Order: sequence, then C-alpha cells, then structure tokens
Amino acid sequence: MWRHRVDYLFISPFFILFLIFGLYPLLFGIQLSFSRWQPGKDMVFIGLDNYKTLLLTDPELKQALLNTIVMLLWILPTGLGGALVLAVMLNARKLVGRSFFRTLFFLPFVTSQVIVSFVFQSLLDKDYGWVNLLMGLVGIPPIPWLTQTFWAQISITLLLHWMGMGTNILIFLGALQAIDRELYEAAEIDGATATQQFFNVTFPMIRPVMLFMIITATIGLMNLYAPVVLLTNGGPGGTTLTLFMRMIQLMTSIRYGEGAGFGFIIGGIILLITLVQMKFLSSWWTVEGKLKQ
Amino acid sequence: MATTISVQPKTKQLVTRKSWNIRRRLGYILLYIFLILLSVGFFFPFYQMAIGSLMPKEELFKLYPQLWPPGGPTLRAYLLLLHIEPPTNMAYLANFHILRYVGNSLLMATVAVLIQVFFNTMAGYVFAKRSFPFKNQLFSMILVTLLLPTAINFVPFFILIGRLGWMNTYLPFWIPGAATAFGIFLMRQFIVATIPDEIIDSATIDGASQFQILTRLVMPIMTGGMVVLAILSFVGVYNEFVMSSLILTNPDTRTVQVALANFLKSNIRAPNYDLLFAGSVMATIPLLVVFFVFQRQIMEGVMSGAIKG
Repeated sequence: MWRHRVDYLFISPFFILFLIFGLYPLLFGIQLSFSRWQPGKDMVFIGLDNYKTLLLTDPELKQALLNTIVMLLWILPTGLGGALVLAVMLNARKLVGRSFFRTLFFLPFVTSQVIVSFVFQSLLDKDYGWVNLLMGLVGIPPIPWLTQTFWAQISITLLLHWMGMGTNILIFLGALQAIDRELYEAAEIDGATATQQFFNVTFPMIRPVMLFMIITATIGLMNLYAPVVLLTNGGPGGTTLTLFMRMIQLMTSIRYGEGAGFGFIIGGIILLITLVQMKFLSSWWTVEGKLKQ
Repeated sequence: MATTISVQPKTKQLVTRKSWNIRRRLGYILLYIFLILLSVGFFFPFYQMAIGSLMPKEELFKLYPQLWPPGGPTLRAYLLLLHIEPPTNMAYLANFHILRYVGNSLLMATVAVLIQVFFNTMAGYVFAKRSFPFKNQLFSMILVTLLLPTAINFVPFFILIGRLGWMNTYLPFWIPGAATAFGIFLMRQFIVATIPDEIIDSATIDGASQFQILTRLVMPIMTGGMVVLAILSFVGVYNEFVMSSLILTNPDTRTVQVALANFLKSNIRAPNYDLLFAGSVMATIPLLVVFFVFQRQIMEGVMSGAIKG
C-alpha cells in the first residue's frame, strides 16, 4: 500500500470531497428528516412526522408528481421521438449541410435556462408574442400560453424541446453512426423499404441509448427549476410546480426537516422510476449486446 | 466509400431504379424544406433576443411583434444598462451593474474549470495507467455516486455551506465539484485512448516522479481531452442557477444569471424586455464565443458522456 501512496494521493480529492460534501450531508439529511430543527435551536427528534406531513397532508407533493408525469408524457414521445427522427434525417447519406444543421440545432445547448425563459416569455406572450401571431395567420385563435393550466405545461415542454433537442439529436447521431453500414446493405438486398429498415435495423440497435435517454429525461424533469420559476413561477394553479421547486420552497421557508425528507422522497421516486423503466424496458437493454459495454 | 454505397444491386430493373431515383430526389427536396423551416424556428429565439435588445420598449409592445424595429435599431438599452445614458426614473437600474455580473460569472466559471480539469485529470491518469490494490473497486465506487440523485442531499448540503461560512462566496462552486465522477470517468477514457503505456514506462525508468509524468507528459499530450471537460464544465457553471440563486444573494457577488432573474422579478408585470434582452445578449456572448471556437470538442464531450455513461 505504501508503495502506491502517490496513486492514492492522486485519487484522494474525490473521496475526501465526497465524504464532506456528499456523504456527510446525506447522513445529516437522514437525521434532519426525522427532526424538527431551525438554525440556532435544538434539534428535536419527531420520528416520521415530517414524512407523514409530506405524504399525507401536503397537496403539493402529489401535484408536483402529477405535473412531472403529465409533462413527461408530453416530452418523451415528441422530444426523444422527434430527436430520433431528426437524427435519422441528418444521417441521410447524401445530405449536404449536415454539420450546419447539426450545429444550429445544438446551439441552444450553450444558452442558460434563465435567459431562455425571458425569450420564451416574450415569444409566447398572448398578445404580443410571435407564436400567437403566426398561428393567427392560419386562423388559430390566440392561446393563453403562460396563464392557462394546460398550455402552461405545454409552454414548459416547448422550452425544454428547444433547449434539449440538439443534445438528443447528437447522442442519437452518435448511436446511428455506430451502426454497421453492412446491416443496411443486407436489408436493402433483401428488399426492405426505408421504413422497414428503420424499425428492423435502426431501432433495435439504438434501444440502449434510448433507455438511457428516457431515464435522463425523467430525472431532468424532476430536477427542473429555472424555467418553472421564471416562465410560469410554478403556476397557474400549481400546474407547473416541479418536485425540485417544491423542495426549494420548503427549504427557503426554513422547513429544513421537511425539505430534507422531501429530498429523500424525490430520490426514492427517481430510484423507483429508474428501476421500473429498466425492468419494463429490460428486454430492450439485453437484446442488443453490441452497443452495451 | 461513397462509390461503394451508390452502386445499385444488379438485380434491380432499370425502370424501377429510375422511378426510385425520382422518388428519392423528391424525398431529399422535402427533407431540405423541412430542415430549413425547422432551422429558422430553432434560430428564431436568438434573433428575437438580439433584435429585441435593439428595439425601444414601446416598439416591443406593439399589437404585432416586429421583425425589424420600425424606427430603426437603437442601442439605447445597452447605453442604459452600461450607465452611459443616465437611467430615467428606474432606481433599480442605477444599482444594476451588468458588466460586474458578467465578470463574476466569468470568474466563477474560469476558476471552477481550472480546478476541475486539474484534479479530474490527475485522478483519471491514475485510473487509466497505474495499477494498485482496490483500483477497480474504488473506480466502481466513483461511478456509483453518479446514481445519487441531486435532490437527495440538497437541503443538508445547503445548510453545510452556511455553516462553513461560504454564503456569498464562490467556494461552493469551486471546492465540492473540484473532482467529479463524470470528470474522472471522461479523463480516464481520454487517457486510455490517447496515451500509450510505453512512454509512461520509459519516463518512469528515467526517474520522473508521478507528478512530473502527470504535468509534463500526460497533460500536454491530452490537452484536447482536457478542453472537452473544460468547456462542458464552463458552460455548466456559467449557466448555473439553482444554487447560485440561493447562495449568491449579495448584489456584489451575484452572477449574471441571478442578476437577470432578479431583474425580471423586480418588474414581473411589465418586464423591461429591451433591457433584459440587452443584458441577455451580453451574458450570452462569452458562451457563443466559446461555442464557435470549441464546437467540435463540445459535441464530442456530449456524445462521449452519453453513450459510454
């Protein structure tokens, strides 16, 4: 061991920092979630009371969870499906300007959620926004994007689409380019149409990446904060409140015990959903050993 | 390669091949139309931000939005923000120093990047090239921490930052994230792929210390990989909002993201979009520069992080 002291020294920062800023807060959080505590006062053990309050009497948890599921239902098919379709298009063999389109779709990656929120607020403005103006040209009446429950959720997902599409396209493109061309040539010789090729060659080969992205998108949506605070402020009527935002609300109103408990509930939900998704889609995961490493 | 792909299978008849070609050409035309329309849509928010910053507030709130300022573009919003033109009855603006906030963000992100790149490369090198007891177990432990949801210890982490006296400092963005699981993983991948064992062995035989090997041999060779990590963490820290909005509450230390968000909240009913857009443009310029200089590395980083992670 002593012989390798330099090696251990070189990797020690991660472990030291994890002990202080990862593990210690985790353990302190467990204690906190079973206690009533405010800075400067003694910590009082109250058993499961925080969890009882959160799970049984706090309507916000249910609301935030429901919002997340609804927004997830919007975002998964169009966000990931759309990105896949676009990646397939950009992967077309003779496409000129591939890197131009790829760069353009990816450009929002560098923008901040704060700034994007302002821009979308103005684009989606009911009276002065471009979106309603353009839709008015084809006869669609103005939509109260940010002020009506159903549309507010759509607005948030629109923003997320714009910000995340390029990244998703890029990841899918990477997966598509890893597929052996010979598979397509073989399928073509067998007379498979483009659609058949997509469902029988492309899709099975990118399933593991798809699964990874579904899980990432789910977790990302639960941790969503800036756009829901700035674009809709959780409203209208709490319909764009996310789990993370609710936790911050508890924290900033100095309900630390409940806040810590809420963190564990979010963590539990994320773990559960990840496991369910992996289980549910496990056939996807194992079918193709090729991309799995 | 292109020639082998375009060779048609011999079994196809001439007629079907011809009609297939026409169909394919039509398909490409539709594809271009679709992609171009979508590109316009994707670019439009940037245009809105830029042109909005050049329009007086009154023109931003016409009944119909304008593609181009009817009275010609004006730099008034920028002059107001930079205090070149004295702010008229906007008390908030007098205490709003956009350049300082952009500077704060740049400082916070740059130092974070330097620290992260150094410590992650150091650990990545050890995991890539050295062998020692429990190496694989320790590496797996690092990867397992990636599965921990951020929310799980957020509240106690925040309390810890307060107890350390780190409120309104940038230390919470520099120290806890100095070595990250993702960073170590990424650097290890790069080192495995780019640096052959032999040169490290020969340097060891020549009597170089591990620190010398790391700083004089490994780091110069894999600058490319370090740039990838640097850019990803730069973008991440520069745009960070959740923690900064809670920790950097003092007007002097806040970052441009926090400052702009507060600016919006200070007048939520009738936002000064012209000023907000001008501020947003100034905040986004450093990132756009980074993006266009390093776009290949950014894309590489995103792809390698996702597929292998």
